Amino acid sequence: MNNEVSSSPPSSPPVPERPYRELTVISVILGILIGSLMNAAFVYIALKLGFSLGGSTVAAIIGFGILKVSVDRASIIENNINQTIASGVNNASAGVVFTLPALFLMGADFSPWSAMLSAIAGTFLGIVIIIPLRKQMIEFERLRFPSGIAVASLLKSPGAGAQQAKLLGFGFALATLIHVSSELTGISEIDIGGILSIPSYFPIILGISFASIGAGMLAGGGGLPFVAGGVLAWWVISPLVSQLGWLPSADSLGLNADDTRVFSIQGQALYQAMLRPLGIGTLIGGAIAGVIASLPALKGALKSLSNAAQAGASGSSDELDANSLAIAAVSAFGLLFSAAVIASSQMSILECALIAVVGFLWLILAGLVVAQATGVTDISPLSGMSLIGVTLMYFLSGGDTVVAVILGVAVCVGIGQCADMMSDLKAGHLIGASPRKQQLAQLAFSWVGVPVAVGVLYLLWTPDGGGFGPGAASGLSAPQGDALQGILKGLASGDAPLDKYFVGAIIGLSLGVFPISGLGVLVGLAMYLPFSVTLTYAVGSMISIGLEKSKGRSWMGSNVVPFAAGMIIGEALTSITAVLIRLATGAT
Amino acid sequence: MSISHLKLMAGLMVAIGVGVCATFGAQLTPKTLHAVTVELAKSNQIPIQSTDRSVEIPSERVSAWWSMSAIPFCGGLLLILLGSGLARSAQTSALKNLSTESGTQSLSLQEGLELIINELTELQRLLDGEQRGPNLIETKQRLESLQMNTLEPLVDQRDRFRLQMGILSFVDVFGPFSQGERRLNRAWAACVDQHYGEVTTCVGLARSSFEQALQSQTSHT
Repeated sequence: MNNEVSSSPPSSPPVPERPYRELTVISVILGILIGSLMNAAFVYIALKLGFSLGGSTVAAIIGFGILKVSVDRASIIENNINQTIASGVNNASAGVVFTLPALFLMGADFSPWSAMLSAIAGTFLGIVIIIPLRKQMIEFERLRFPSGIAVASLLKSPGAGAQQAKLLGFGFALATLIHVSSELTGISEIDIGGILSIPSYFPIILGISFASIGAGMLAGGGGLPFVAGGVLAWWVISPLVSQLGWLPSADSLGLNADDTRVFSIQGQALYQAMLRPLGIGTLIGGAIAGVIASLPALKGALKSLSNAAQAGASGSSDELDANSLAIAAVSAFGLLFSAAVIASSQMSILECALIAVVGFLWLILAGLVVAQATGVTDISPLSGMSLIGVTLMYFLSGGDTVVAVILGVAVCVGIGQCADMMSDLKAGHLIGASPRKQQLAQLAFSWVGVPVAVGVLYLLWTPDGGGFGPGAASGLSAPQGDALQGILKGLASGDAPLDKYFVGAIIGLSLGVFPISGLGVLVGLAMYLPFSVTLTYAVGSMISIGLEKSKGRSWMGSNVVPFAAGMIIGEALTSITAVLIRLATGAT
Repeated sequence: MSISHLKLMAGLMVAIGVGVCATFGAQLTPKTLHAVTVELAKSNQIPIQSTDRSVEIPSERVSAWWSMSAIPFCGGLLLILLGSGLARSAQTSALKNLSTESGTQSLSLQEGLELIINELTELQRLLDGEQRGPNLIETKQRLESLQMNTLEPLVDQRDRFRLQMGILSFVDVFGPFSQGERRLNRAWAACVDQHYGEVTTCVGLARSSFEQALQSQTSHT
């Protein structure tokens, strides 16, 4: 790398006298614009297809191009601020679109303002609660945050040397090629077990995702507990449960024992009714254990925030100070409480306050889970955590669906902000951005995404004959909202897998004693996810471990990191492009 | 028994414990299994006679599960806890052995920090002494070399430092250490952006951070 750099001319252009550009007006405006555009597009995509897309890398690339063209001396960290704001603004799209349509589909009567207040509260709370954990997760535990590393690699590419740029480009091209092939052929995974006629309760399925392989490569040996959890769940527990006869039998289904539909239903029962809720419980228990284990280090983080408050107006501190965070948290809590009051027609003020407190506490715990899981694997169990949040709200509100979903919006948006803020801070750490300015930027502007997401949702969800507001959403299936609606109906009939959550939480808590940080969260995540995701990630992890053994640590840093980052960026951009083409052409 | 055997045994105990706990934790009550069967048959469009999808209320579900699976589940839990305790003990022994063998683990952190500070002092001297502009490429190369050869090896040993120093001392040392590292990253970015003033400032600030880390490290040993 150094050779390429030294081949440049030995002198530099005239020295700029202006301050080093970081939190500038153009980076803020650009961040809001890019974030709002992505937000609107991703709301539409999520309503149509049922999934959302990460926006950090897209924001970094667009910002990179525009800043370079429009600003004479745009800096790397200025683009980081632009990307931080854009991804924060975009983040509200997933939180809003996964929850609110459930109320539309149920034909519930509610005020859009309560949803707006709740989502804004979630935005602020998510950022505020995760900031004190920056030191613990990024500086002490050194969680990888593969997307954060990918964004940092992208931002650093102008100075990283030709060799690293080539590797980034090669990773990008490879992931793009594979993803395009996957899109064109419609093959998204390879069922090796099926080819070898291995029973489906012992799955060997590889997802065709070079982004997952890239995330595994960036995590290296750190991802092994996650892989081990997946192996345990799918290659040990799954066959055992099947052999013990605890799955729906062919007899009970009225089918022949060799009917392939029996295996399919058994697989669905195992995942949906057993491993997934058990995984959610383990995630929660693991997060609680993590909080307990991190208490001494958290004291250090709080000391740092307190120092920041003392540094005060000088602005010299690394962190947003404790006083500012407290004010933001109290204000956001006020918004959440107001949302509960507006949404509820039957609850007393005291009950509204109680439900807002529980929502706030759940957001803290779920935010920790999601940040920890994203930090190691780049995979976020957002929907599971949001689901538990809605379930909690549902029971606390005495079965009030509107209150449950409205406060669920805050939880869902807030959890997303936790993971996004931490990933941005990781990228910031790697390029030397000021955490304080990143935190300030995200806190000050991310809320803009809420009116954009809610507005687009109302705009698209047009009643018959056109107009603005809930009605029959022609062509928009809102799969996530539909799923949430189904779960709410299940809750109404008393169907909540509380036993699995409870048991999982005990397993997660007990794993907190093992001397590997975050083990419970990783094992829980492995149970929560389909095995094809874990196995693909494992491939990347194994490649990384093998390469590190043979080539050494420094080779990994200068070769594998840009290559893997390129794969993550390549697949993210290709996915977005493919979805947009599909929507534009009406193709399936 | 060697430490690696202890670690292996601990890992196996935990894996078996999690396996037992999760297997028995996954068991559904007969009523829930029936409801799941009916639900999945319906969603897969398989006609079955029973349409009863009722389940126990959540609290009853917990107690019904407990009465079926409590004993094996608690056995698994015990294995997890014993295995975790054994793993902790093996880790502590490994650390003690390592310290006895080399006898210089805390010094190596100190040496590393001193090396970084010396390099940054030299770099700052060069930056202050030179005409503005011509040495940013060399500065960038020296920062990359410092990152790769000194900072990263220290970061890789952080778990050992944490065990040796205790969590509070570790936080006191690694807080300013990470701050210094971030400031060096910023100096690198400023080199690429050719902003001489920021490079000079960041190198100076980074040196202060590492000096603070060294001071904390010295006071704790």
